[in-house]
Amino acid sequence: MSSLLSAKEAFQKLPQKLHNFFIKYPPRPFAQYATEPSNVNDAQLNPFLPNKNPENGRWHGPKYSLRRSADLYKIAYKFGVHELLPPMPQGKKFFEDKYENKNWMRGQLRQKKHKWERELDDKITTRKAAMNAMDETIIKARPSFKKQLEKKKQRERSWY
Amino acid sequence: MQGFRKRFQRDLDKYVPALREHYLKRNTAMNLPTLPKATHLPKAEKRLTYREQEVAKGDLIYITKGQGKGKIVTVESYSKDRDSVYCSEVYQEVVVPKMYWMEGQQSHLLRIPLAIPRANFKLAAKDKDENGKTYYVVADEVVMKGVSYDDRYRQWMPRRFVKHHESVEIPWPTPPDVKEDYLSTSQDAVLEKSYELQTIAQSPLPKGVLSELRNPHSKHKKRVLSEMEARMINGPKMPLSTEQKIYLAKKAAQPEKKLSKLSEEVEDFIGQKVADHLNKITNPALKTHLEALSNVKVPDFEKTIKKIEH
Repeated sequence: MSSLLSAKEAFQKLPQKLHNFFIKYPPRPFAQYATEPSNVNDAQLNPFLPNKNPENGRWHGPKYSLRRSADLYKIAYKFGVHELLPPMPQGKKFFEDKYENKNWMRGQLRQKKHKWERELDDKITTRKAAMNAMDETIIKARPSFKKQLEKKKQRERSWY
Repeated sequence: MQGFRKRFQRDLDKYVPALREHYLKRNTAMNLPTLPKATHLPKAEKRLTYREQEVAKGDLIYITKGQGKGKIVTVESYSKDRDSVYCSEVYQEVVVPKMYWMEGQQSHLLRIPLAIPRANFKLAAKDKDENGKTYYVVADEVVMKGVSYDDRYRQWMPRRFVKHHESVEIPWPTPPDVKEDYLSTSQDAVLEKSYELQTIAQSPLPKGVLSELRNPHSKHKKRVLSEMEARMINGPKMPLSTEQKIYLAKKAAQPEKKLSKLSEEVEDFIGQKVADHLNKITNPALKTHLEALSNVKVPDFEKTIKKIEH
């Protein structure tokens, strides 16, 4: 069996494609990348995602296309450095991860339902949260409400 | 005879057979009842070559059905439009009113040759046996085999044989002589070349004629533009808009993006990850594959390194 590789030797084995990418976009713990499209001036912009130019409202296409990003991921995976790349676009998954997160027998095991039905649970929870935080929301819009609220609290009766 | 089909003329070939029959019947309803019925042979079924026709003018045929059944007669003509033959023995006598009489007609009765369809005759041939006695051969079917040049037809003719008795060849009949008239071209004149195709390889004009006809000192041939002409061709440079100027100024003000080599810390971090991964691999095939992958040269990487160095 051949001797174990040191970190320096192993770095020499890194394909040029990945080395080139890391020069332009340093690996993950040394740099942070947005998981969602952001604007062009953002220091954390993700090169795999489209980003908006806030000055003129135009969208810049991703620096690396879906194909190129997938290619980079696959090579990085072979060398065990796939976690160092920026987050993949559109939550793209590969290999086992992709297989395990597959929606098997889509539409047959579970009905798709209408869009409003699918979104209903989320909608109710957000509505409830909004109702609970209603006082703060009103105070934000109308600071004088704070006084009103205090008065209300004073007037409140209790059994003791 | 059918010539070119006119633009709005019906194309009987496109009709279904029943409809075609109906149309022909209606179209010839006013014809004399004694005249033979009109027929139509679709273009695809027409026999246009000797190989397809199998009979030619001057051939002997044996009539198997209809008028003249059992007779051996000579073919007077072959009709491509009907795929049938005509001979002098099979005819119909038609009563023709005097207004329709032809030149030299003496009687109300006119002999019209009747078409003998292919199904009603078989090809026959005449030969003499050893004793000099004439006998006839009737071919149920004919096969064509090979070709030989026939000087009488002045073309390569297929050879006819009786099917299943292929030692028996039926030669083509001698075609009727073509009579020359005042419009025909003589045989020698045919070979004479009176027209030659012009090609771009050879100019039709003699050498030096063009420079005599055209001005060799024309200013269009100088290939030198005057200042005015150059200005007209190139057009003015458009001034930048205010927005463009602002944009360019902003761009110039921004610091240039500079690439730098990976720091040792980063290199070590990546290297450690790669080493951890590679050291676990035992499969020699996978090792070879990864080795090959890490040796792949990328032009963009070279460019990046150059940028860093400059």
